[in-house]
Amino acid sequence: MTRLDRGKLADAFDALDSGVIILDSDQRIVCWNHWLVSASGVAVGDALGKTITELFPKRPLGRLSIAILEALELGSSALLTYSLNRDLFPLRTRAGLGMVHNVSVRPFGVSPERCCLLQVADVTGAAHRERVLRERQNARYDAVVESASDIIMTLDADGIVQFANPAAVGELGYERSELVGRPLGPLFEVPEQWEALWHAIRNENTSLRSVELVARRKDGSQNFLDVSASKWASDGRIFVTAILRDVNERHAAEKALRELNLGLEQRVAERTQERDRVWQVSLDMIGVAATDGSWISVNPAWTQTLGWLPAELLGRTSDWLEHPDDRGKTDAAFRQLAPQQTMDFESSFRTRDGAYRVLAWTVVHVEGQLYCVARDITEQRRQQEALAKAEDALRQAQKMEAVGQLTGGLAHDFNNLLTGISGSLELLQIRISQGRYKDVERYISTAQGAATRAAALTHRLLAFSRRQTLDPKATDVNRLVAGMTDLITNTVGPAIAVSTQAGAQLWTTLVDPNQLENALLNLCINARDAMPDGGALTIETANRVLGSSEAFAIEMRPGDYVCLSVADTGTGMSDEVVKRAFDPFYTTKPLGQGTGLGLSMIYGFAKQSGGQVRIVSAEGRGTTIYLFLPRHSEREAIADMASDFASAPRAAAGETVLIVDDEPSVRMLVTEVLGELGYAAIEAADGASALPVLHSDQRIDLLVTDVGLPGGMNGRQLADFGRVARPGLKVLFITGYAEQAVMKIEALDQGMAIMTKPFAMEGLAARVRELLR
Amino acid sequence: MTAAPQLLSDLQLDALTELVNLGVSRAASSLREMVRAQVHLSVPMVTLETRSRAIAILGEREASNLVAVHQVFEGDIAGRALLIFPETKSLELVRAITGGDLPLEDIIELEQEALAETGNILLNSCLATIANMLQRSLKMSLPEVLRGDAASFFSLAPPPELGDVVLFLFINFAVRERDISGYIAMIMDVPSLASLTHLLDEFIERTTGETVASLHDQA
Repeated sequence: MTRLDRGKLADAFDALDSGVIILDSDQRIVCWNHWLVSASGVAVGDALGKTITELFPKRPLGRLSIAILEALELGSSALLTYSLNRDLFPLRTRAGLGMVHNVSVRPFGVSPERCCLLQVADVTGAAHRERVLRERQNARYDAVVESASDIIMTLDADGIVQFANPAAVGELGYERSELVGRPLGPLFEVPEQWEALWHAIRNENTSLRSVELVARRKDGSQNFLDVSASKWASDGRIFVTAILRDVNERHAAEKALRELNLGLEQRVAERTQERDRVWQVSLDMIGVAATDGSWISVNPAWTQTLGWLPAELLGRTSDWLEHPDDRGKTDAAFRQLAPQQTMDFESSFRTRDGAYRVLAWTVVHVEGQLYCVARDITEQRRQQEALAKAEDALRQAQKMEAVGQLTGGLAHDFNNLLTGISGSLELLQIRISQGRYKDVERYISTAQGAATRAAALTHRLLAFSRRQTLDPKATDVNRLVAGMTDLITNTVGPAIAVSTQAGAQLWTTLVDPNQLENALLNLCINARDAMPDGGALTIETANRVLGSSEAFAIEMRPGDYVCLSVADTGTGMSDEVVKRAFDPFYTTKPLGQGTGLGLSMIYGFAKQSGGQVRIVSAEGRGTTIYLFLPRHSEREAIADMASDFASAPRAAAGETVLIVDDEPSVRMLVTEVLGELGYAAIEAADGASALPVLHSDQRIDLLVTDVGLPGGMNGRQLADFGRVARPGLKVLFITGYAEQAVMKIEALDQGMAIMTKPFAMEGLAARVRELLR
Repeated sequence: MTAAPQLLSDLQLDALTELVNLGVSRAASSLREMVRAQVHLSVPMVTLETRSRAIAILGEREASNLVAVHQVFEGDIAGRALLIFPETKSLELVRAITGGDLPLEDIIELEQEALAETGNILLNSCLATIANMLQRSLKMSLPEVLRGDAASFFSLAPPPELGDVVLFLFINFAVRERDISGYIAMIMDVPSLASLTHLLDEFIERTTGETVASLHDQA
């Protein structure tokens, strides 16, 4: 440096990229380099010889002046930075912008010749860079912090507030200057809480969870704040930024919610108590079971009803409780119950004292559990049974009453008949004793007629009881009606005109002709009774083809029918009477004048024959009764009816008949009749005594046996045993009525026949001859 | 730790304290000029300590990191001068000096320069006042901001050849209603201390018109 001459040194100063000012000991400018000329616009000539203050009189140069003075007097150096000394000199950059600059003040030389060197450094670039960075950062920071609704405060390591955002001022009511530079603790209602949080933050490396603290505003009001804070470091220095969130609303909401919950809890408790009370006081057994049927909980009604304690019931299924008849019933019901389904059933559970209670269950399957309610219906059931018994008893009483009526009617009818028979026999006895044989024949036929009617009456009874043995045959109804016309005419009397209209080409029907005769006679008698003052009785036959709708209307199958109708011009019947006409024992006649079984028996016969009975009647306009009988394909076999016992065929030599009947009179009668016909007869009272005969070598051509026999073996079984010993044995069953299980007409084998008691002797003879032919 | 050697007499320390207070009041006026606010500075106590004792004292009193403004001085006495604050106080000092409602980030950025300048003013005033009163001149370097602990501040390279002592000044700032305490430390080697002692005696003689020895006798 010392080698440079003054000129070169001056050139070097001018070449410097910073300002150089040299002041002499009187602070006068002795050097003003080119850089300064350019930056300040002050020419060298204008600057030299002046002091700085003279050069820039309007500048706040106090600090610089002191620094210069100290440098000259004391030899101290000074740095004046732009940060604390803004715009010291009026300098501009080459581009004309304001220049940011630092100035250093240095003394050199020795007093009193000491000089002062001022160096001016352009830091515009650096300052600008700093400012841009700061502004950018501040912009981001401001966006977050300045506009945040949360209080944001930065504290230094001693807990002194260094920064507070506008929200802090707004929320706490303090001026910024009242917050910054002071500790935060005193703001809180309980400063210790803050101190604890502060301590935790200072000592932890991680940020902590927020803590709710209550702050006091400047006006003393409470402010609930959620305080979170985190530690950060800048340039080796520790700071803590705390965010205080206003949770007053949340706090109020929480408080409201707490109160609400409290209310809710209370309501739930009340509701629960209500439910519990229902559970506790219910007389019905209430229980919750798992789907496997094991009980999870049961109410006190279980103990009250069954006597078992909950501990004995819980965790077990109901199997051990169930009545042996109901074993597994509850379990089965539970198992088949699908979710959301409800089921009702009954089962009996054993009580502790060994009795059984009948329980009516309602079970619903919800969410994998079975909710069950069982009502004890034991008493109810007992009452029902008592009621059923009472009903039975009543029914029995009604039956007995009906039987009484029936018996009364039968007694009346039989008395009439018996009067006829016994009267005839008396007269017969008188005539015979008087030797007057002329009228004997008349009395005999009167007695026989009465006996025949008595037999017909029993047939009617059997038909009614549906235990009648029908002997259906292909029948020509026209011929049957024609055969009965005289009888009907005689029966109804002269006041009534009887006419018949026989349908042409009438189909055959398959019925028991005797029953049909009875039915026709009955209908005619009813007609007569309906015409006490006389009238017209019309018997009509016709073929009827019933279509499906027509048949349905009268409860029949569609098809071909023979229709027999009996019409009168009598009093007619009300609808009420028509409806009940077929009811058994229903009669419009006074007690003792009829059984009330007439139409009922006809109905039974018609139904049994596959037909139907219909009534068309109106009060005062007569009654027509239609009897429908199914068409039959076969023609009637005109039997060579041997009606004369005297001309009945005689037995072949040695022909033997075994007669089995527990009724001696019947046995005797049959033996007599067969003996008359030339048959040898062997008698037996029951199966036990008949079997040895069947197993013996005795010739037996025919077994005549009653179906109902005493001693455990019936006639049918006897016949079967007989056929084992004697295959092809001819059998004739005689029966009061045919037990359905034992005797079916169609079930009769070849060589077997059946006769219904009572029967005419010549009929028996004819049947026997038929079998043995 | 050995006890602090009695390197300066009480009279000399009193004289030094008086000089330093003159210096800081001068600094206060400089600062007042700069910050345009009332600034009070006071030095209640001056002690002379060994380096290790100075480190211990600072370690005991200040737990946190420290920040220092460092300047070198040369002349009849030579050494280093340090204005030391706890790091946490330095921001407060800057805020006090800059005033207003500057954002914290700005203050942090300004801290370095503002601290350097503030320290510069204080140290200059003290050192220059002392030198002036002692009628000696000192050359002082530009300020430099350091961060660290007492041990690092007092062991800056190169170490003095003949050992050193620390002139320890407690200093209180009162700026804009803020009170900030700090330290000024002058690290001198033993020859410098001897020069200082000598200069102090001269100063006392000039001021009182009596020899130091006679003053000592009176005491």
